[in-house]
Amino acid sequence: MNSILECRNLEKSYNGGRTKALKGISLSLGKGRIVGLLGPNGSGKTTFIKLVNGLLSPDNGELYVGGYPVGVETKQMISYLPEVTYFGRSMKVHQMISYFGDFYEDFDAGRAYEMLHRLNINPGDSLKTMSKGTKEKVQLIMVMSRNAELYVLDEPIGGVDPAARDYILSTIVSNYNPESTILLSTHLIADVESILDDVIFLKDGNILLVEPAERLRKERGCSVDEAFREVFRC
Amino acid sequence: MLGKLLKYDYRANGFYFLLIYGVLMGIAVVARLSIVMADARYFAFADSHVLSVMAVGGAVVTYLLACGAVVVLTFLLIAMRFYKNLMGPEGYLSFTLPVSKGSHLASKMISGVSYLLLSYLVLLVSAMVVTVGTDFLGDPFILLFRSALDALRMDHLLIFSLYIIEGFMTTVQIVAVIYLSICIGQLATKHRILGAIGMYLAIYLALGMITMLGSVIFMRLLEGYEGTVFYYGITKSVTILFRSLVAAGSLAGSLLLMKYRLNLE
Repeated sequence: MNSILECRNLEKSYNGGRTKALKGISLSLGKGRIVGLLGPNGSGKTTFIKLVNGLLSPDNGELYVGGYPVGVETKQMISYLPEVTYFGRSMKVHQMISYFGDFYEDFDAGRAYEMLHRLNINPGDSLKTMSKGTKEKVQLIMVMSRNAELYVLDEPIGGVDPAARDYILSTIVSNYNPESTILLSTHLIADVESILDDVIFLKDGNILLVEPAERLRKERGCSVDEAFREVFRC
Repeated sequence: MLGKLLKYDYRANGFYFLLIYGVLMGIAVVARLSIVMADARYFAFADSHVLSVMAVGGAVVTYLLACGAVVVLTFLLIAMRFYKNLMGPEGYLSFTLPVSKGSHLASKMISGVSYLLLSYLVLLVSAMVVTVGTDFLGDPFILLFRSALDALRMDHLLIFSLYIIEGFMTTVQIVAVIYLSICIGQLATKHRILGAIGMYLAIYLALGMITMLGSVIFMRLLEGYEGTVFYYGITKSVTILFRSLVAAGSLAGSLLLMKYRLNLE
């Protein structure tokens, strides 16, 4: 089995069916790929990611990760970075490391401490004393210190400065296992373009395009960022 | 995994509960000291007993207010832990742990009920600190208390046991209804906490009406048996069954909502 994630006719709506966030999407993600889930705000990226992580239930359709329907087994395989800060404000970094170590068998505490050391982040500091960028880095360190089969990163560079973006992207690339897959959602395409193997364009809850980044560049004769701007021109 | 969840649930509120219990016991000790000092006529230098009455009265009123605060804060801490850890931003972490939603609910129930029972115990111990060995309550009060226990047939071992089980099931029901109210409240897109409070009041209003109706029916059915062991045995058993059903229904409702209608924003 070469696909790590597969979905068929996946639908999700809000407000009692009035707002359709996903309109029956089907796709398959291969193993060992870095996939960009790209689309403007409101295109359904976060809804899809929440469905993959079991934070929402689909209205219709099927979704499998590693051959399993979303549940306890799939949560062992996925390392998820949400848009929000999901640790308690008073939690200290070393407590987060213990927490991940308690619940995830594939968590590598040594790797986490090493990355913290490289970034000069004190494991004794609590989240409430950190800047937004540092919080995001800490959360990313936790997520990337797992040896997961699928990393799902929702806007990992959305709220940080360009220097921090470079660090975050290099952390992602240097810490993931080439056998694993990374699904990365963002609308800052120019920043991530260089690391993407495949791209998915999502618009109004529909998939417009699923293609290897290199083929897209060749076919259109432009960068992914330019292709995105062309497709989603207002 | 349940054990690990429990470890973090107990730890999250442990400090706050210790603080609350410590303050309550401190106030209880002060109340006790004021009673002992009044008994020893420590305030006899005053012309009247006004100072003595004021000191004892003030300490006892403060103690009673502290007891009320402990109950309210216990409910609040239990509800806040559930809301923050599962329905707030922390829910993104909790619900992506490789743990079933049933385990999350079980952990929250066990920790919530045990903290509530611990609060009862601390209240009881603090009441003993204030009263035992003094004649503060006086003989008439103690006589009244004893006759009330007799009238409720608490002198009978079986009935006493049923009261204990009813107390436990009421505690379980309270916590389960709090969680169900929060799960229903999170379905709203705005004012989720207000929605949860409204739902809690609505559920208790409905339960109150059912209880009242049930009481009237049972009073009619058991006419002539009032005050007997049989009367209390039947009414307590039915109450325990009712509380168990409400608790089980609330937990089942919460679990279904967490599984199929989770609405993290």
